[in-house]
Amino acid sequence: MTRYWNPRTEALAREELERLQLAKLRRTAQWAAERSPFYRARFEAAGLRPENLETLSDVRRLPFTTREEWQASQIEAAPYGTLGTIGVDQAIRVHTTSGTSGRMPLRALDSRKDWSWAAEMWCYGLWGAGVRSTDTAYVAFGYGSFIGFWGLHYGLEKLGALVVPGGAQSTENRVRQIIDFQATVVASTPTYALRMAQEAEQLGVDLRAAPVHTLILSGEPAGSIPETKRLIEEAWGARAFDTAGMTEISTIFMFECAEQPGGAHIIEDHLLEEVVDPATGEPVGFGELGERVVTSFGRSSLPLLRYRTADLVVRVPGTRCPCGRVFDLYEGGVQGRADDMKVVRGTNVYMRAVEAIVRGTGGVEEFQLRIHREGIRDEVTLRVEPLAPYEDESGWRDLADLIARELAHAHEGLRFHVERAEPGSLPRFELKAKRLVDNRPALEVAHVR
Amino acid sequence: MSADDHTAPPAAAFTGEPDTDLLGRPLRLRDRELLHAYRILRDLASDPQSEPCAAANTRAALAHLAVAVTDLGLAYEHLVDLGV
Ligand SMILES: [Zn+2]
Repeated sequence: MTRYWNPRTEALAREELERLQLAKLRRTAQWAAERSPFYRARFEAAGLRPENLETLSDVRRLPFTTREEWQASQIEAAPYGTLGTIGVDQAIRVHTTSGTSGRMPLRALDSRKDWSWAAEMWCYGLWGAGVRSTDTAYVAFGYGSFIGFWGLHYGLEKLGALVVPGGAQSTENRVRQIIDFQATVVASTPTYALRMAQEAEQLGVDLRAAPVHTLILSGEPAGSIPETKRLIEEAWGARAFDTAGMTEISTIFMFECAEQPGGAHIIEDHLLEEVVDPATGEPVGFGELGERVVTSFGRSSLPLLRYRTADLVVRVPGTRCPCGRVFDLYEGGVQGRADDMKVVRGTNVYMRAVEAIVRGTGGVEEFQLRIHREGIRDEVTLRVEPLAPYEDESGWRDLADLIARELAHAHEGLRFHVERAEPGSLPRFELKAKRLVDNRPALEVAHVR
Repeated sequence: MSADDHTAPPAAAFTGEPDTDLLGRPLRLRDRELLHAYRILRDLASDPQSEPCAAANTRAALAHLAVAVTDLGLAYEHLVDLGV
């Protein structure tokens, strides 16, 4: 059986793939200019006609689309804004962004075909990770208006797996259902995969002896943080595969293949992805950190062109992976968010780097990073709930010293206060863990952009 | 019997639409059959006389088939005006 969901495009020659992308780009641009009020105005203002896009790099003649513009259009033309091409009568679903960041959630309508396409993109990833129709897949997800794992659910149905929807359940019930249904695949966020493993241990359930062989992770960058991924794989006795998606395109844009090459393939036959310098908007090369900018070909109802995602990524050639896919990779998955990087006393602090160190110790159940101001000075404190073997005084001291030393080492000597938190006192997350609390006065917080 | 043993009409004979894929390559027989099925569904989806059960299920089938022909690079069309 083929290792590719779509052997016709996943193994294309690079030059052919780019010809396919150009054909789709021109039609998408044409469609957007004809039918999306937002893009019609945009093409007119840029003095650009879609038929004049002659090469892929001509896409750069179009201005970026931003989240702020999308939000503004939702205020101007409530509730769905002006980016879309359809009304509610032609739509079959509406989904929203998670709203965890305190910003206005984005709302997106999908037509029948668009929703089938969203599921299809998940199929590329599920199939690539080795999920087949013989699998029983447990989806540990709340099934609300946030898009989350909805597309994965439909992708699993499409490829013929048995889907167990694990909505509205306690963690204990979910663990018991995974065992009772003999699930072979489990989908959740990385944080929640660890949470379920801890719950299983407390219940005396041995997940390593259960039939689960594959975990499909999404919703947070941690699925590609090697230290976190290793903890998850060890706790479950299964292989974990990172994916990442966004409501703005309705589905995933990258998936980790069965070779687990330390990165995830971009689904390039359906998306045109650029990586740019967040400050200048100019393209950066292979191997350089930059911001993802996405153009999606798949959604007729919402033809997104050059959308600034704020995801920080490092693109490397697809040939880096031995699987034979032409699709380039994001090395290490999504490396962080442009708006997640904090500057503390002149030093950049990335949550991803902090998480890698904290998880790498193997002694932490949950943690939270707080940045606060003492007088005129910024301070950074890591609050930690240690795992049982580190709960006694000397074990805790050793763990805290190790974490403080490694964090300082990775941050130009910046001192992190490491504090012990009461068991169960820190927030637990099912979706989009928010472990960074910045209590500094808002205007003085430095952002990357 | 393999898929290549029976004959399918060239798509262009029915619709006047291109007989190549999005990369300009000639269509294989099985691709033509798939495109043919897609185009039949597309025509059916625009029929206002269809019974509700036929109309809705035709649109549902067309949505999935449209994704397949797009995946294979055979066609790339927007179908929202057909309710798809
Ligand atoms: Zn690969």
